[in-house]
Amino acid sequence: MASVGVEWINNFPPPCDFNELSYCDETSVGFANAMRNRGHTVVFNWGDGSAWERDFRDPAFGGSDTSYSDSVDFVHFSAHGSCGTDNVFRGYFGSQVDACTWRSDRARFGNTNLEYLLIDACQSLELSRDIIAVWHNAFYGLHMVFGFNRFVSDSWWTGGRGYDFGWRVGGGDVLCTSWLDECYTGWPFDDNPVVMAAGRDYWDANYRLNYETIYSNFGDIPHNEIGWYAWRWRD
Amino acid sequence: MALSWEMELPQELPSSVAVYQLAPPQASQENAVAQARRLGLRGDAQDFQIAGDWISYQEGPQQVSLHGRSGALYYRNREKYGVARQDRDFEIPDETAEGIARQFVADTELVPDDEEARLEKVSHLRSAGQSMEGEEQQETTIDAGVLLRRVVEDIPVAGPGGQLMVNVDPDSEVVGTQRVWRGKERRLREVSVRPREHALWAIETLAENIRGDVTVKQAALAYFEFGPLDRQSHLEPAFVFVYDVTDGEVGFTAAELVPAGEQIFGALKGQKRFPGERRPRPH
Repeated sequence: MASVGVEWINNFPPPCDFNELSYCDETSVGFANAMRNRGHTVVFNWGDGSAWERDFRDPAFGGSDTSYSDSVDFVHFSAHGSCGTDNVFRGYFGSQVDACTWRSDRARFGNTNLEYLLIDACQSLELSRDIIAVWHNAFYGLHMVFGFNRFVSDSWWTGGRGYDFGWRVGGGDVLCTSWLDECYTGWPFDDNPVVMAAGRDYWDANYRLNYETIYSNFGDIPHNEIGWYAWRWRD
Repeated sequence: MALSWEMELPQELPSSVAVYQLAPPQASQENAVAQARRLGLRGDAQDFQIAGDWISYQEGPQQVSLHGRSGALYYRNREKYGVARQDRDFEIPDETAEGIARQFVADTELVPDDEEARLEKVSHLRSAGQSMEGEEQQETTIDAGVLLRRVVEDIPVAGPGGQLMVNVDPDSEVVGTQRVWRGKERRLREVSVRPREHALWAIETLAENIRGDVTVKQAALAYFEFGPLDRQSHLEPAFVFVYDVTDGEVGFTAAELVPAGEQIFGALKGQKRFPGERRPRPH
């Protein structure tokens, strides 16, 4: 069985002062609930002021992800996000522990446990940027990143996507197609999900996107053995 | 706040729109088998799964699933759907893919005779990659996802529902379909459509309370249909606004629905399905 952690933020009071969101709990807690209903274990569920930036930062950079985001198989993060021309993804928190924004260049995942990083936030896999430059330094045994190109909707009508995805993958469905199917929306929301996988070579990376499930026992790849990244999206 | 419009609400609106009572969803083993047969399966296997609100029928690599709250239908050929092929490229033009999808929809009776399935777009599942040495993997197309939008009495249906996607693979085979298309029980009555100024006032008032720039990307009078997880009692008109908010480096997309009929029959939005609890956390 898989282990799951979620962190979500709707409220962003000062000093981390951004526009409020409304349905980040829906997507994260929905994912957790679906996985639990499929027999997996939810290890932590932190929301709003109890969701902390240091939970996603590696000890190499002074963080404590070994106790949280990197301690589980799946971690789901839902909040504001952005990816600038510096090729750094930023996730935004509503409390300053220790910072208001988490940065992808301070992340190393998989050196403790994490296989699947789910980021329900804008520009988490922004195809107008160099997504390898954004995420390569986070792959230390991590298998895949799941995210979105451009903006993603915060609405009741699309808030069930976390549950829908969790229901499918928790039951053994292919991870990549499940994310792309359940997070893609047509008119009028136009959400565009993306999945990125690491591999030792072209065949390995693409094979993982084609077939990897939570039961398929595809091994972790050490950071210095990653030879290829492959990604998929529906436009 | 600054409110701008990439799309404006049409000036000309119908004076009235019909409201429909929706039929209870049909999701049983019998329905799953019947649906499987319409999709071209034999329908004689005994492999069923009931998990949560989903009921699934499996016949070899092919799976048909129905959702008990919405009647949503998923069909997948699990050996072929979403799988990047190495032996051939996807070379089917969009018009051909649409033709294949429409023939499939007609053959399998996926859309009621009295309704229109209007082409929204031909989407594509795409794959790309790169080596650590910088060698690029040529961008390839895996399928065409022909997305058809429900239209009722010439009014489009917006939302995560009211849509049907048919997935065509490089062999021109339909390898998947997703349909959220609730059945109509009966036409209740026509309701007068509220003035467009009523809707504009609602979105303008909303935007006044948002920090940053608000850009309306979609504005329409439409029916609105929920996604697969939710029950819905009526199909009724709404003014639909989808807007982007940009505040410095942070942005997001949100939606506002304003009931468009002078009489309202059902809810356009429900309670949160999975509300989060704010639990204190010691440092």
